[in-house]
Amino acid sequence: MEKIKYLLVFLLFCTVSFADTKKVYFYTTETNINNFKSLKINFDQYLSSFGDYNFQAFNKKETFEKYLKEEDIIVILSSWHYKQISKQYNLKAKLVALKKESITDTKVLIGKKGAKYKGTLTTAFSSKYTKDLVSKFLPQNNFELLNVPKEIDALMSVGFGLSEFAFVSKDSFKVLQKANSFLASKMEVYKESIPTFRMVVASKLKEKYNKKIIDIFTSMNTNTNGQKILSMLRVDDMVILTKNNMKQLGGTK
Amino acid sequence: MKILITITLLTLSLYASKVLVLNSNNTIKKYQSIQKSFTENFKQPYTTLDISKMSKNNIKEYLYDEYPDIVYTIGTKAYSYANMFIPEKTIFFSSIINYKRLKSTDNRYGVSNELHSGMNLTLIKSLFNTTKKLSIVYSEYTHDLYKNFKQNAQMMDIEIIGQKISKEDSIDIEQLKNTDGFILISDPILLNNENKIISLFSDLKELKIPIFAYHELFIKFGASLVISADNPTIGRQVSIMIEHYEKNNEFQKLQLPMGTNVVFNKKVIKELGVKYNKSALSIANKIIE
Repeated sequence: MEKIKYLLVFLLFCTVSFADTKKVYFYTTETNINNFKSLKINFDQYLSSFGDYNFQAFNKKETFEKYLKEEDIIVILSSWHYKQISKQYNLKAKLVALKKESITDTKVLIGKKGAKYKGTLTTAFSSKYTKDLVSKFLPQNNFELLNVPKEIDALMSVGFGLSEFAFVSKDSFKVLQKANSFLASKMEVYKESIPTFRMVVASKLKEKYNKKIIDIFTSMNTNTNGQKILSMLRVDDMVILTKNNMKQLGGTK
Repeated sequence: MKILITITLLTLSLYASKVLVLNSNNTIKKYQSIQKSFTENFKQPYTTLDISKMSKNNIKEYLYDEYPDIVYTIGTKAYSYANMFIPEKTIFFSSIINYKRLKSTDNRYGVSNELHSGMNLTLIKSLFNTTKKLSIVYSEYTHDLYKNFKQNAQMMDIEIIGQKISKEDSIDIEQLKNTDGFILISDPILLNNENKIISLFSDLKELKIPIFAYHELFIKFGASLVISADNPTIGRQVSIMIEHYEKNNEFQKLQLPMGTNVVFNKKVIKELGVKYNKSALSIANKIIE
């Protein structure tokens, strides 16, 4: 009887302790992170100074979406994904990633001048996302996809003749143009997407937490751990979405 | 209908190539990550074998019994045994230092360990955009690599100061002065003496010249930047190569790694007072504060 009493007290303690833990769920197709462990360690460490938060990254869209049914969660996801599911899961976008002073990004298909649409296509985005977008440009393509860690790797592979095409953001081609203009001059943009928002931070928390969420993500750039996270996500900062931005993003008000 | 599908699948499985992944030692992190990315990407059936604890005879027996059509060997040990016992078979390889020294025949394919020198220079120039002059110490064994660096650097308006050494030579530090960085290459003469390396790192530190190395172990000696091949990408590359081979598609027999792993030692860079391009830091996989 005594043992059961202790067990009940312990269970009650656990419930009280973990009831307020807010989850931060992460799934994006814009980065090809192969070290979730390091991302989680840094995020958990960073979030601990703001309260009881727990970070969890997903590499499968379906699994990620299952967790979105929960309440009291903050979510980091690609803007195209947000547009698709925000109404279904009642997500409200709050912030957007900033890189090179822009919150939008254009994806391009780049190859060596005079290349034919075949062979290996290098990409730092997820395979599914790349296939979906490239199919919009070229519905009947026969590319063999190869995931590389960084967009600059995808571009250098084309430049040095290791792959035929690269699917990257327009910004990264500018980086290559600056670093190795000779190599970039041998390449050209074959297809270009319309600009889309970078990854967004959305919330299912009550309105009273809005300020807190904004605090957490806008402070990243001033904190060593936060800077590490931004670097892993390959963005420069997180900024607040304007009303106009939110309208363009769609989803819930 | 079901029977027809079963018969078709059975027939297909009879004709499908038998693929074996032979790992020199799966407890080595590098080999482990290559095998993991290969198996995640490879769509056909395969078997794996870690030979680290097997005797030469056991390996021989296994290879004779299994007699695979295609072997993907990870590491030099695995390649050597496959090449010794079943040389008539198609062998793919990766993680072999200086693969050119291995005896190979027509049915050998693989991904080298070393990155394209142009990739190294492009990454250096992205992070240190004022780079104009770099130095390299090389020997007769790495003369080709030095020439590659020189050729690629020329196209980027970078001057390479080369210093050739032989066994007896000590490094002439005076020659390395007034450069924007030192590229450390995997040269057997240069690396045969740890004290020589420690003294080189110390001299260059005094001159406030950053060292760009090819392996993370040089971080502890004080390297400012490490650029190496990304292991999971190598595994994925080999898986695509085997698929091409099976489909009789054209592909490059010997490939260079397409992914890079960049470690930026911000701590050392700050100590040296070297300027770097902050906006390009996102190309680093790891930043040491």
